Amino acid sequence: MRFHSIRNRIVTAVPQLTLIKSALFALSLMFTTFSHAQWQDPLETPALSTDRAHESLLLDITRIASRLVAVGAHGHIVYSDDSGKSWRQARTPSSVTLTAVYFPSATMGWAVGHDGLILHSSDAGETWVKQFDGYLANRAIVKGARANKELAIADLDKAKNSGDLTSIDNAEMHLENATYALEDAQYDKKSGSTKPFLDVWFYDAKIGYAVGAYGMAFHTRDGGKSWIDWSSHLENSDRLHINGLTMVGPRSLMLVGEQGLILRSDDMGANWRALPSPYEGSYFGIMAKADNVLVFGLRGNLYHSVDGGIQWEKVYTNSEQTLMAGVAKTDKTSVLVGNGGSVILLNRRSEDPKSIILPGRTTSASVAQAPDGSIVIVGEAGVERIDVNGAVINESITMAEGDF
Amino acid sequence: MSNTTNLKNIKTEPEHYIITPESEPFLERVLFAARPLVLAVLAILTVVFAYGLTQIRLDSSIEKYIPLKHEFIKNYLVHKDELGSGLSNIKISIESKDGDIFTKDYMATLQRINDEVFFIKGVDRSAMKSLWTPNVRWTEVTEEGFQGGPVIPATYDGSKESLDQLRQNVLKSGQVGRLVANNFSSTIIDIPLVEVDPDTGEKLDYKELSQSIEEKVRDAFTSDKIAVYATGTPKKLADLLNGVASIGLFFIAAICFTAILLYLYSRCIRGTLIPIIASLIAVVWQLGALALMGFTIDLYSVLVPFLVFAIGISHGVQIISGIAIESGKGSNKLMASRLAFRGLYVPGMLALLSDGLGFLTLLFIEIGVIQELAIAASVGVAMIIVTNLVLVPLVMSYVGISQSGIRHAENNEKAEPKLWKGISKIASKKIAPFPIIIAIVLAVLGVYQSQSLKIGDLDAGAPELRPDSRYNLDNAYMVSNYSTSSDVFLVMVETAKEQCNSYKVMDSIDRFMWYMENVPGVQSTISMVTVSKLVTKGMNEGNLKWSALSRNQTILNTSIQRAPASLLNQDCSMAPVIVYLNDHKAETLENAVAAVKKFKVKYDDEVDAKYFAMDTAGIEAAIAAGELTDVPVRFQLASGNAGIEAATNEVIGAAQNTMLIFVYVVVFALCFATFRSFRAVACILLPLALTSILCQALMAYLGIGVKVATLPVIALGVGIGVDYGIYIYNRLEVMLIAGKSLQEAFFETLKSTGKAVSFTGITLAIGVGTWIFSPIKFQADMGILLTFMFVWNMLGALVLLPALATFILKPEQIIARHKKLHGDISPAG
Repeated sequence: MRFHSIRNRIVTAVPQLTLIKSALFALSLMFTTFSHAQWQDPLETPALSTDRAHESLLLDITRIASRLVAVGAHGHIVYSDDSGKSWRQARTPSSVTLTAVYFPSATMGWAVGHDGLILHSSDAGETWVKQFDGYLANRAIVKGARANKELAIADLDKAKNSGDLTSIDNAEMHLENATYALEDAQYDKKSGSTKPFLDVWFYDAKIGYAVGAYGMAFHTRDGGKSWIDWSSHLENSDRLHINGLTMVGPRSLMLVGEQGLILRSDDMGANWRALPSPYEGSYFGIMAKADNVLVFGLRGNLYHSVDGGIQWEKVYTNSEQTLMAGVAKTDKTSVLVGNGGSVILLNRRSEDPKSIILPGRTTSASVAQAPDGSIVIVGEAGVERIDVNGAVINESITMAEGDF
Repeated sequence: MSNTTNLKNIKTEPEHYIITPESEPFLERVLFAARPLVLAVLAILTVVFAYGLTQIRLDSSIEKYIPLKHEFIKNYLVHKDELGSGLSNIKISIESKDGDIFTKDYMATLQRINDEVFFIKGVDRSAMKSLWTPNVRWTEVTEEGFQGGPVIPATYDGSKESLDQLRQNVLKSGQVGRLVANNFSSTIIDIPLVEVDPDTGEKLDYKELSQSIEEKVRDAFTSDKIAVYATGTPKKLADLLNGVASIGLFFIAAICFTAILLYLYSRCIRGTLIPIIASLIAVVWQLGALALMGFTIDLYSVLVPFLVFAIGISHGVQIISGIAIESGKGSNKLMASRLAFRGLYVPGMLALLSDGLGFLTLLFIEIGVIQELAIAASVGVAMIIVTNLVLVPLVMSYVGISQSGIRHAENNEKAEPKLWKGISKIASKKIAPFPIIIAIVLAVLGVYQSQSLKIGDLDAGAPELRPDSRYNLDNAYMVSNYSTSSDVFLVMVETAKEQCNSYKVMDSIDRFMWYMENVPGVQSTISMVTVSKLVTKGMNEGNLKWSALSRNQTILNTSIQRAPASLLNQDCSMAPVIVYLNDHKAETLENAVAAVKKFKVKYDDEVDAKYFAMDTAGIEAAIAAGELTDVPVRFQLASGNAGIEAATNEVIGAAQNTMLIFVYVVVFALCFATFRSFRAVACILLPLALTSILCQALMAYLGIGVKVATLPVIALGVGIGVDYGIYIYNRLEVMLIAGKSLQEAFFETLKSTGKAVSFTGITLAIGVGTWIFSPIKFQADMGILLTFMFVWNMLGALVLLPALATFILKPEQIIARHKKLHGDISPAG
């Protein structure tokens, strides 16, 4: 394992030197000759370098300054400096499917994915290193769950001492949940089962959150050098999937997830509380500009709040297609994308939805506005570009050649 | 003409011998001494083989067409029964010619066709799929979980609302590109077939089934509004077997043309009928003998009777021609036959031996049909040796040639036709350089052109059938309107029992699929990993971010629970990866194979084969004991039509040169053993080599690849082509020994043997030329190439051979050798 990760780092550092690469290839051949098992964990296997990465499944796209960065299946990370017309593939240390990417600054960024993977780039997305993975996550979760259980036992003792029946009930329930959580965490750790992260958000180069399946939530205060299990700070005892997280005020964060889950924190994520949800289906994304919040998800459900989530108003999209992601454009209108090639255009007040179906009818996962004003969508079919009116731009999209 | 001619008066003897100098005259004495006995034996044999003929069967098994000893095929055969189902599907597409499928009329027609198909014998009714079958459903994720139903709702009544509902359901069903065309103008009825006929308990008769579909669906429903298309391997096989029927007609046509030519040539009814009957007897013997030996007829060996017939005719003609000439000189029936036999026995035997041995070099190609073709053709040639070299002269010794025939031969003998006179000028130092220079130029151009010769089938669709055949047109419609490819390359991923759904194996497959999708020529890939990702996504409310493999074994197990049986085997020790290719050009296949091999180096576990047969407990024990670090996995090449074709191409590519070398070694050895002169062998073989080069150039030019069908052509072309040279050279030598100058000798040769050779060349060319009209593409390809080779070999023997002889042959040497061996006795022939 150690050998491989060192090798991967060398490959990352000297991508252009084919001589060294072929020498390393020979070395790796020698190495494999003596080993029985040739397969290595995808967490430790660099992504295939290919000129088709922009055509395969991509799951998130973001924009930093004039650059677009997208992540997706097989650990691909691609970036474009010309509004999505041509792309290059970043060097990445693993080939696990990535689900989300976020850049709090022009150079510092994080990408998360399946198997609890967290990658970090400090050069605007061109090269990436691994910060965290499912095995570390499992260990952290077991540690967190154990601490939480001890806390619950202490709480129960306290409640019993006080003799208040309601607190005893609550404490017992808390302990029961904490016990299950610990058992699950121990099972996962033992069986090697890992959970995917589904979104990542950073306040700056230091403070950030990564959230995902089964209520998984991790927090860092040192730019990802260490990640702390944060799930016990969330009011999410059913451990529902957390699908999106964003900032809704100076120190306020909001996250959405499975079964109408909406949580809000007003202390930069230290404490979270549930907000009443206008919908019991799942939300897959959240967009916000201060108190102006849009949440959306299953079967075209879209809700709008102008007061930071106290009251919600349903926006009738006239589409039953699940919505996955959205972006606010520079002119303050919004674009949402989702299943079956559906695109929803909203006006500046998030009203008057206009529903379009893209010709390929493939599912889209994310959207960004390019520097030239066009809309770049990623999903099942890779990268697609549409103009402000929702018409597909048929200009061919190219990709720098890989080593394949 | 006197009947008292005594045996001892015959003062000629064969110039050359094949076994010993004494054996041939001895054979002649025996055969002609016991004429009635020999004929009686031949008659009995004919009856026996005619009985054998009734036992002959047409074989439609696929195994004979593939190289069973190739590694890919061995790997495939291990899993043959588990992978078999994919091959026995017929797909019928029903197109609405005006507008889309969402009309009341179209749906009503589709329903009627669906019902018709349902009751066709051999259809696996429970697995049949169309918009009208209840197993085609739509699903949708809602707040409550999955929702779904049949695509055509129970409330369907053809109204606009229900058609709108249908349209929504089709979109939700994920069938667009599969059962419904991408442009919504047609839908497919997918018809899986049962293996065994439910009535007879025998293998299902594809021909009958295809006939039912043609009659009950295509003929009954095609109109100006509805078009019907049908594809699938069983349909293709049925079309091929139907194509065989036309071969019978070609055979009759070939007999008729030959008879006309033969009469024009001999002007003698007897001289026409006897070679034809003798050749037909050879065909009966050949087919009968093979049937008695237990061989069956296939799409290749069905062509052998043509060759046997044509070769038989060409040798029969030589004999008849010889008898006519000898009769013209005044010999009686018996004497003329004996003299003709004596003169032609050696070159005839030599020519037939080189044919037969040339065919046997095809045994180097380890593909059943080719090996059986080799055996069938060699057996046929052996039969010709008896029927035409023995039977024809014996029968002629009784019936004799007609007076008109003798006169015709005499006239020929005396006549000095301008054509032959002109050609004979080639054998002079002045003219000879021209054909040689032309030959060299042609050879250079030929070598250049043949650089672009490709291995494999180059046409799209089913290469066995013509590009404009009904089947290939239908196939092209399917490929362009649905998201499918007809070129399937299948890689079998093997592991231990119950381990195909372990994370390591699934992840290896996942990587393999993405790796292959990056290989040029690969369209897409499908495996149980595709299903697993889809289901995992579905279980998580259709969220695209979940379309990845889980490391949780329970989730993995659930995700493949409902995977189609074709994507993993019963005990979960093998999962195929289906790789769809753009085409089946050799380059595409080679790329795919090379890519898989490269991937294997990196991902195959080099562990003992026994681990692949172990069960879970065994593997766990082996891992615990440190013998293994993980579940073993290996990627086995290859199956699917493209995989089999890749194997075939490899076998053919490897055998191509070996076979060519062997066939030339055989003809060289035989010619040299007989004529004992390198100069003679050069005169005979150089024109042959030129034809071989030009044939390859022609293949490159016409876009015909080196494949199962065209490889035998090289052996057949050389083996049969050498006959011309042998006959011409043999006669030329006799004339030279008689003291004539080269040009005179060649003129005499042309008048007799040359005429027979050009006749033979044309007869053979007509025989194989009829194949060009075969609906089966590879038979047509063989026809084109063999016709070309026979005509060019003939021209080579008539034009290039004398030109070469002018510079290469040393008449004085030949005469000196003759004097030394035979003294004053003039050579036979």
